[in-house]
Amino acid sequence: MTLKSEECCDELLVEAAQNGHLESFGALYERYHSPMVALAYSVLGDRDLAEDAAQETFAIACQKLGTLRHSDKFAAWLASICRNVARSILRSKGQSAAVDFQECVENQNDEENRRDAIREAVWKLRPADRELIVMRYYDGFSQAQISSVLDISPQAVNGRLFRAKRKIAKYLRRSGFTGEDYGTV
Amino acid sequence: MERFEDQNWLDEALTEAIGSEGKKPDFEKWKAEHPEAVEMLTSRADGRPSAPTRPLNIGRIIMKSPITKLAAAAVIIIGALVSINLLDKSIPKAYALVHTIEANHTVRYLHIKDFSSEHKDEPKEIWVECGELGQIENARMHMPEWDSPDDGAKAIVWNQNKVQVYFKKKNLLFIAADKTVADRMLMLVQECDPRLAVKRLYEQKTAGKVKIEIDEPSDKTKPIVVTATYLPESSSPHRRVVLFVDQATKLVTATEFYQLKDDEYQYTGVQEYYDYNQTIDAKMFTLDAEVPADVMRIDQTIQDVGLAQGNLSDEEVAVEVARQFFEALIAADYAKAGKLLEGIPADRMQQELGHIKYLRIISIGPAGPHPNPKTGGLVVPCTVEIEKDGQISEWKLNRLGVRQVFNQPGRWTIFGGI
Repeated sequence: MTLKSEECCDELLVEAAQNGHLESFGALYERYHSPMVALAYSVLGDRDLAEDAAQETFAIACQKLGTLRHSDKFAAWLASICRNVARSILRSKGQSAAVDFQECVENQNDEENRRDAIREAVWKLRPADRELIVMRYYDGFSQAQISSVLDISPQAVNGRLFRAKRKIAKYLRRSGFTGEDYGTV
Repeated sequence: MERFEDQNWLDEALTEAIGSEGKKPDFEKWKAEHPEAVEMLTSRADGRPSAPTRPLNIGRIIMKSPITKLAAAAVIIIGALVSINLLDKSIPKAYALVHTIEANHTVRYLHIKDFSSEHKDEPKEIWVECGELGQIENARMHMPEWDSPDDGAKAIVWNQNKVQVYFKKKNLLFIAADKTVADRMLMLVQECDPRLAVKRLYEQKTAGKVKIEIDEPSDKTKPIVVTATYLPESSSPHRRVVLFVDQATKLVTATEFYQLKDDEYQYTGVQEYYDYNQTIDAKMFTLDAEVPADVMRIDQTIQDVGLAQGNLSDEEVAVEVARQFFEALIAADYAKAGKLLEGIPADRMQQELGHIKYLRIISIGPAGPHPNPKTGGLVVPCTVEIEKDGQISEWKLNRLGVRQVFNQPGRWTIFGGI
């Protein structure tokens, strides 16, 4: 393949992969692997399980790619597979919620407590907002990437991120954490 | 008020708490672990790889032309001159609520999600189509089960004076063309309409009943935050609403609601507004095509429902409706019983109540006020002797509700309590 995959738009890669071109699917894998891990992490709250969920997501996508009609919606389609995979993993673990933060507060230093408080604040958000926050901060995905994966407008990404962060900040303030803990306000 | 946008520490904290460990995707490893999936994909190949072709970089090719370069330079110079002349006119004005009121005049379509703090995952959803003057012409609502556990989840469409309500749990489609019902539904929609919310805020601000604080971030990608705190002299003194306004369109993208409790404004819910002016399919505003074929259809626009009041008082007609209803059941006249119970079809009445044998009315009345005044009805206590599974017993109904039929003045029907 002479084309650098990172320059190619999703539609072309998807159409090529639908015609059996494995390298194009590989390019999509490279592009969306991390966002899918992040998305699964927002459901599962466990990095290893999230990694497994992402792998399984691509296995399903690879087999069902022929059923995708709108190649420009590949990212959103992949995300819907990923959510289902992550939820079924959660069910198989017999968990209704992703993370129980109360279990792991003992024997931790201040830094760990602070990180736990932040994660707890994130997991208190409703699932749609949690997805957004995890997508943004897991690997610094851009507004455009988040917009295509979550299938919402860039303006909605901005607005919802802003509001979700306000909620987190408010929750943290109530729990006694502020910017001073980070040396900046 | 604390400026939230100054809290850059939160970005740092979130990255630290949930940031990835930087694992790189390894497609070769994935391929090795999923040979079946790979086989399925590659089997689609028709013998030659259909590698995507590189799209032409039109911009770069055009800019290589000397003529284009000259033209581009001229455009830049003219642009600079024009911008100098317009500079003083292009300084943006500070945001004010009136800008959103003006922007709202352009709204024809709107999709609203209304989240309460207790039910974060199941919002009420509303779709609205407006006329050229901004008036609501069609609306659709999805009401989750938590909003009314007895009724279950509902889909409602509103069109002028006609309302269709589909009760999913009961598989029942109720159709009425009464202004009272329609107005009640319209009010539900208006409560969530951001255009009216902004207009009301503006009026309250002008009347000195609301304190407005506006935070307009210099970063144009971030929304303007309008915090409206209701003052003690207002009609809702413990309320605060926070509007998030898109800087480009000046339209509200979300509204958060707070209530003062224990000296702190506590979050109670949020409404989010989507798809401004994205045309909504006309099919969304009728339920006929989407309800199941076996739905129980109560169409009060095409049949007489209930009993005519005649010269009876409200209390007397309520008792008479209840009496005739049970007499019809004793006679196994399900058509008449159904007519007295909101117009339910005879076959459905028989299906629901036919397994019981109604023997006699032991007592009935007197009618009194309904415990829920919103129903606008009366309660008629009744005791009926019944036979079920060979056992004779007394069936006591303490909340049998009777009220006027919505779109048929002077007619009364049983509406609940059975």
